[in-house]
Amino acid sequence: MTPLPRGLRDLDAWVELAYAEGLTDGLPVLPPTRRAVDQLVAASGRLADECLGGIPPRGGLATVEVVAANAVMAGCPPECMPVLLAAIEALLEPRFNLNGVQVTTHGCWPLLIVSGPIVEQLGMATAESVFSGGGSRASATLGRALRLVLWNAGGAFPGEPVKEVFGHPGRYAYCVAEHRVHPWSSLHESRGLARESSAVTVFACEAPHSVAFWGVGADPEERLASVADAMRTRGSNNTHTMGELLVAFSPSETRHLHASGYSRERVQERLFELSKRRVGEIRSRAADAPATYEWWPASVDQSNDDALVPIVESPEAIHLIVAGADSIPWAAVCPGWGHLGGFAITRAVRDGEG
Amino acid sequence: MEIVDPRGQVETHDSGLAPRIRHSAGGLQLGFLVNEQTRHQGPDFYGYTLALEEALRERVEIAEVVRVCKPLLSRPAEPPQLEELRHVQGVINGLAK
Repeated sequence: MTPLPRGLRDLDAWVELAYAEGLTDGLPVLPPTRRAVDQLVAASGRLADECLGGIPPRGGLATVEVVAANAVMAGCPPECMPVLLAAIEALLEPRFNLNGVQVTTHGCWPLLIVSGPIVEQLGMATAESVFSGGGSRASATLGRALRLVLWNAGGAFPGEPVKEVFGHPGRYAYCVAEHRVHPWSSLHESRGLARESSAVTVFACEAPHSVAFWGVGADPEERLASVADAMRTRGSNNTHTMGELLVAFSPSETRHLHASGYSRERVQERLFELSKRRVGEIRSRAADAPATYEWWPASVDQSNDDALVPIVESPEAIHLIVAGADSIPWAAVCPGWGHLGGFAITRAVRDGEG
Repeated sequence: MEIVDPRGQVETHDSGLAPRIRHSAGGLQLGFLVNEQTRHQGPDFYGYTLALEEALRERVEIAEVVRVCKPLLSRPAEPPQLEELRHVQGVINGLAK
């Protein structure tokens, strides 16, 4: 790794250096000036040299200062630093398997899900275009900052070592915030944190696949069956190996489900049941097909084509969020990486400077 | 304009190569660290290890072959799997599709 020059004459010199040294994935980035980096470090409420860990696969040490440098490059406002640091700590938990997520052939990428009072404090988007930033600086730059940390400290470069076959547009920036006002418990509350906490949840998943309720009435069971159908497509890692999965409901659909007697937990249970698939629909009996599916639980009779196979490990492995425009009752499904990792990790956001 | 390097330092540790495999009088003890029990695209991985074993037997005397399977292809081998390979003189590790 070539040391960077400490001083640059102007912005043009930075742009040339950033591309020459591979400090960006192709999009332009702002210069991580000492003054701006120090400002973000101060806003984090932590010491500059506090180390969160090595970012795989390269293993560059993610000190608070290094994270701040990438956040400056992304255009992150200082007040986002506590969320970004909590997200990186979550990614570094062994259960997440960040090394695998970074280099896999699969097209998953860590989605940041921010929930709690900090959503409003940061001005994050929760409505229209919620999965693509919604025009909010905090929403767009938090996802972007995470990408740059994983790029620069993690060295997750396409080809070597990243073997992703098709890619994921969310690699540029993948962050969503949950609506604050809805009848269900928030995502972080359902995962054990206090209701008034601010939290970030990381989950490696594919891009959202929208589910419009074409051809069905108001019956919640019919609506959930439509969602379940999108969850269990053949070829999806979930359908074949289980793991975890995320479903977003728009606020109006959440209210509809709630008014129909469907709590968050009941929706998880119903989706778990409705998304099961017959063994015979998933695995082939051809001579060159695998004799057994090693990922399925022993309770599945693999010799019986009519046996039902769950596509996630449990109802709780279906992560529900409330997000998106309130104009129409829709849902969106984000398949996970299957049994291989990228599992949801939730961290409370610590207070920063102010 | 002073800038801060966004890449982070990498901690490195000096380590030498493992001892080279010598032909022991009783033959070589060889390990294969493989991924899942069955592959779902292309040839079975055990097929590769059998082919490699056959090729090696033409060149060296082999007393024992130990095949150990990682529980998950996306993660490093866990200590119990490595323990099974502790007594062998060399391990071949790879992914085949």
